[in-house]
Amino acid sequence: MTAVTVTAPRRRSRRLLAVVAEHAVLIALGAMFLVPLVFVVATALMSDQQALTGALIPHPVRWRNFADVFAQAPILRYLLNTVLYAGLATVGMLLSSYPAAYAMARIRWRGSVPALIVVLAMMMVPQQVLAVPLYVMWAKLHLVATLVPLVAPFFFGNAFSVFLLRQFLLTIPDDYADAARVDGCGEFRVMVSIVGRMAKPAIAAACLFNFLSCWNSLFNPLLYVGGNPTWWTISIGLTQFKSLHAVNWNLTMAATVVFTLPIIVLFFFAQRAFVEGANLTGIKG
Amino acid sequence: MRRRILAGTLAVLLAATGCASRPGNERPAPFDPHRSTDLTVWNGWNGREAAAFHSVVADFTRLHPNVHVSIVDGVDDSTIMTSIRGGYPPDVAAIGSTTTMGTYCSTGAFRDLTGYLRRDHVTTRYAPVIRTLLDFHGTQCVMPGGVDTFGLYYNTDLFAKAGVRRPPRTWSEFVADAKKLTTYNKDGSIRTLGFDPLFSFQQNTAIHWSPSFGASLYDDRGNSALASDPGWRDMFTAQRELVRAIGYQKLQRFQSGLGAEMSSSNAFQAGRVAMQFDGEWRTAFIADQAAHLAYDTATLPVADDDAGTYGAGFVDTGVFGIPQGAKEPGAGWELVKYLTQTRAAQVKFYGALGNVPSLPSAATDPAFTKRPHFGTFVDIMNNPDSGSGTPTTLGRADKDALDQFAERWQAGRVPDLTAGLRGLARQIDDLTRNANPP
Amino acid sequence: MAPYRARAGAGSRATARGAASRRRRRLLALLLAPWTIGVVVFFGYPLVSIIYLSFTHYDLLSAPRWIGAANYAYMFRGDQQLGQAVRNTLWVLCILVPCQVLFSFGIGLLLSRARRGVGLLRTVFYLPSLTPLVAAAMGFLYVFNPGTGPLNRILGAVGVDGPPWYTSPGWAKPSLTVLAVWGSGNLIVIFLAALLQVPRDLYEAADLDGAGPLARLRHVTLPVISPVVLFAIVTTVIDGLQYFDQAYVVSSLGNGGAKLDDGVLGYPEGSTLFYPLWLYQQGFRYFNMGYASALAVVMLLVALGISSAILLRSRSFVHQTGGTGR
Repeated sequence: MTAVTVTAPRRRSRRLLAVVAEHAVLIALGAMFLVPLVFVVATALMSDQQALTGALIPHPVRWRNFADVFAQAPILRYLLNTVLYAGLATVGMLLSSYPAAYAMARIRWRGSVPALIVVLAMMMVPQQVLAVPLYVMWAKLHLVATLVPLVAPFFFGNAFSVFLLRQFLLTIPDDYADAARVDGCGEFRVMVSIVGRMAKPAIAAACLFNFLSCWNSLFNPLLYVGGNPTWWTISIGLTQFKSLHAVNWNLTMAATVVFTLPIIVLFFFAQRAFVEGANLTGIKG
Repeated sequence: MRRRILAGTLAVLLAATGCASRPGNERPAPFDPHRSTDLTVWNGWNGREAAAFHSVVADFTRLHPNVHVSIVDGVDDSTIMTSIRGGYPPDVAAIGSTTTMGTYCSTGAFRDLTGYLRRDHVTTRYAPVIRTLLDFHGTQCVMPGGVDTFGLYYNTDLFAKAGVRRPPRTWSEFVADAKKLTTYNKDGSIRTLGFDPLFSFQQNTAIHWSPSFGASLYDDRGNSALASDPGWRDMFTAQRELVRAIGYQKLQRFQSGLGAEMSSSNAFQAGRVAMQFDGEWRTAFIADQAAHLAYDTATLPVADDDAGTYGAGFVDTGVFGIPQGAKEPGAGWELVKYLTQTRAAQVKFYGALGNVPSLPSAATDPAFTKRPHFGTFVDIMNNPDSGSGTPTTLGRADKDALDQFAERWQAGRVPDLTAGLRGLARQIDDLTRNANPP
Repeated sequence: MAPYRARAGAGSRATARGAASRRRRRLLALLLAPWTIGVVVFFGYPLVSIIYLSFTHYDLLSAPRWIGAANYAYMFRGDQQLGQAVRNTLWVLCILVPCQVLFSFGIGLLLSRARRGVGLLRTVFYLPSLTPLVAAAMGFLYVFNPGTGPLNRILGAVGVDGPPWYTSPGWAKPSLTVLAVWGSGNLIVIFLAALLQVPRDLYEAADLDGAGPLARLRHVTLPVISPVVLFAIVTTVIDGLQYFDQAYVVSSLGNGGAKLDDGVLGYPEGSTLFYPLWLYQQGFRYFNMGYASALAVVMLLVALGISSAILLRSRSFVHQTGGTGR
C-alpha cells in the first residue's frame, strides 16, 4: 500500500481505471456464469409448450412442474439412494483414509515416501482403466446391482482424500501432540483427539469433496446400479428422466433444479469448508 | 519360493475371473404348477404399454395361481445384458427388438429354447421374415412377441392442400412429393416439411430403409454385403437426393426445433411434417395423443427400377428370452409360452400396444386387420420381400457402424460412396473377426 | 557393579526401545491396514488383471480365452473408430484442458487483484462447478438447443445467426469446452488461493524495480505458485483423459431422441466419442472385455506417461509435496 501512496497522482488514476476495468470484466463474466442457471430455473417454471418457444420469462409461472416431477419419477428414492451412497462412502473414506494419512504424515517410517508415490499413482490412473476387472470381481461376488460395489472401496482408503489429509497433517506443529504424549496419551488418542481436532478443516473439506464427488458421479453408478432401478442415484435418475417421461424440457429442467438444490444449500451452509478445502488441494501441491 | 507363491495366487485370482460355462444343448426345465414359484420379469415398456403388460401377465397368474410374478418396467436392453453378465438376471426378459439378439444367442446369455419347443410340440408357422429372424445357426433363443413393421405415415389434409393425390410408390415420386409438400417461412426456414430424410431422425436408419432397395447386411458366407450388394449404393444415393431437395443445413435447423419422438409434440402428430417414416405403433400413439389428425399409412416407396417389390418393408420383432442363470426357467418358459402361443393373450396385449402380433392366428383377427390404418403393417409382416436386420455375434456393433457411416454420408463427408462402402464393409468384417477369434 | 548396572540399564533401555518400536509398528500396521487392502484389491489386482485380460477374448459369460496379442493388433490396425476416439481425446487434452486452465487462471488473477466483492464473485464462479455434471449437461443442452433454446434466440435478437452447438460435429467439442470452462470453479478457487499467498512485498519490490504487469507475472507470480499450477495441470489433464460424464449425457441425449441407452455414443457423427466412451462401449455395451482391457492398458500407459513427464520435469515435486508448504 505504501507503494501506492508515494506514486504520482497520474499513475494512481491509471491504476484506478485498471481496477474499474478489471471489476467490469469480472462482473460481466460472472453474469455469464449465472445466465445458464437462470435459464434453467426459468424453464423449470414454464409450460411445456412455452419451453419449446425459447421464451425467457415464464408466463404463467407454473409451480406445478415440481409436483409433476415428484409424481412422475421416484425422486425421493433417488435422493435417498444418493444420500445413502454418498454418506456411507464418506464415512468409509474418513474411517480408512484419516488413519492412513496420519501414518504417512506423522509417523516416521521407511515406507512413507513409497506410500506417497502409490497414493499419487492411484490418483493418476483413470477410473475407466480399472473398471473391467472390478466389475468382473463384483459380478463373481453377486454384488452387482447393489450399493456395495459403490460404497465398499471407500472403506479401504480413497487416494485423493489420503493425499489431501496428509498434506494438511504435515503442517500441524508437533508441540501439542508431544505435550499430550508426555501427559501419557497413547498415540491413538493423540491421533483422534489432539491432531484430529486440529485437522478439522481438512477433514471437513475431505468429507465434503468426497460427498460431492459421489453425489455427482455417473460412471460408476451407471455401471453397477444402472440395471437396478431400486438403487438408481440422481445422476442416473436424471438421465433416465428425460428418456422415460416423454421428454418435456420444463419437467426435465425442474428435475435438474431439484437435484442441484441440495448441493447449493449445502454449499451455503458449509461455504468456508468448501473454499478452504479447495485451497488445500492446491496450495500444498 | 516367494515368486512361486505369488504366481500361484495370481493364477487363482485370474481363474476366478472366468468360470461360467456355456449352456450348450441343455435339457428343458420342468414346470410344476402346484409349487409356489416366484418369477421375475423385466420389460422395456412404460406407462400405458406397461399397464397393458401387467394386465396380460395377470391373466396368466389367474391360470397359474401358484406363480407369483414381479414385473420391472422400463428396463432397457443393455441393462438386461449387464444383469446376465453381473449374475442377477430376471427369469424372463422382454426386449423390444432383435438388434442385439445375436449376442444373446451366441454367448448363451439367453438359453437355447429348441429343447422346450420340441418337448411342448410348439410348431407355429410364422411369417417367412420372422422365421429367418428366429433361426440363429440352427438354434432359437427367443420367442417372438409383437412385431414392428415400418411404413410411411402421411397427413391427408396436407396432401389435399398441396394437391398430392396418393402416397408415393417410387423414389422419384417420393422426392417430388416431399418438395411439393414443403412450405417455407419468410426468412427461408422451413414451416412445414414434406419429409425429414435425415438418418438418426426418429426411425430413419439405413437398415430400416434397406428392404425397399432389396439390400441385405451380409452375404451367404457371412461377409458384409455393404460393398457387394448394389442395393446399399442405391439407397444411400436415393437418400442423398431427398436431402438435397431441401438442404442439409435447413433440415438440421428445422429438426432441432421439433418435439420429442415419443411425446405428444411429435412432429407428425403436430402437423409439422407431412410424411413420416415410422413404426406401426404410431397408430396407437396418434389415437391416444392426436385423435383428430387426418392421416393414412402406406409402405415406404421403393427404388424406381424395383417397383415390383412395392409393399415390402422392414420387419423386426419384440422377443422374450430366458436368461442364463434364471432361477425358474421352467415357470419362465410357461409364461413365455402363454404370451406368445395363446391367441387371446396376443390379441389382447398387442391390440392394446398397437403392434402386429407375431402369432399368425392372432394376426388375422379383425382387431388388427380391420383396425384403421393398420392393415398396411400386417401386410408388411406377411410380405415375402420384407426384410430384417441379420442377428449376428456382433450384436449391435455392425448396425452402430452403419449408422455412423450414414451420418457421415448425409453430412457430405463421404466423398466417394463406393470406396466408403468398401471401407465400411471391411470395418464390419474386421469387427466380426475380432469378435470371433480363432 | 557399575558396569553391570550400566549394562543392565542399557539392556532395559534397549528392550524398552524394542517394545516401543514393536508397539509403533503394530500401530502403523493397524492404521495402514484398510488402505493397504484397498491398494491391493482395488488397485493392484485390477492392474494385473487388465494386463492378463487384454490378451484374451472375454465376454463375461464364458471363461477368458487366450488369443495372444490379437486385441492389440486389432487396436492398431483394425479398429476404425479408435482413431476418431483418440483424436477427440487429443482435442480435449490440447484445447479443452488449456482453455480450462488459462481461463481459470485469468479469473483467479483478476479476483486476486479485485478490491470489492471478492467473496460474492468467488461464489458466483464456484457455483456452476457444484451443479451435478449430469444436471449441468442437461441444462446446457436446453440453453444451447439451436432450434428452441434461449441462447440462439438472444443471439438472433442481436443479429447473430447462432451456431448449431451440440448438434453439429464441428461445434460439439467447442460446446463441450464451454460447459467444461463453466464448471471449472474448483480450479479458479485453487488458483485464487495460491495467488493470494504470494507475499505482497515481492510485488512491491518488483514495482520499485519498474517491472510491468507481464514481467511481474513471469518473474514474481509464476515462480511462487508454480507447484500449485503444476499440480492443477496434472489433475486437469488426467480429468481430461477420463472425460466421460458430460460427453455421455450430451451424446446420448443431444440427439433430441428419446432413448438413452440405444443411441450410439458419440453423437453427432462420432464427434464426441472420446477414448473412455469407446472403452465403455466396447466393455459394457458390446462386452468385448478383452479388447476393452487392451484399451485400458494403453490408457494407463498414457496416463502414467503424461503425469510422470510433467511431474519429473520439476524434480523437486515430491519434496515440495513432502514439505510444509506454507
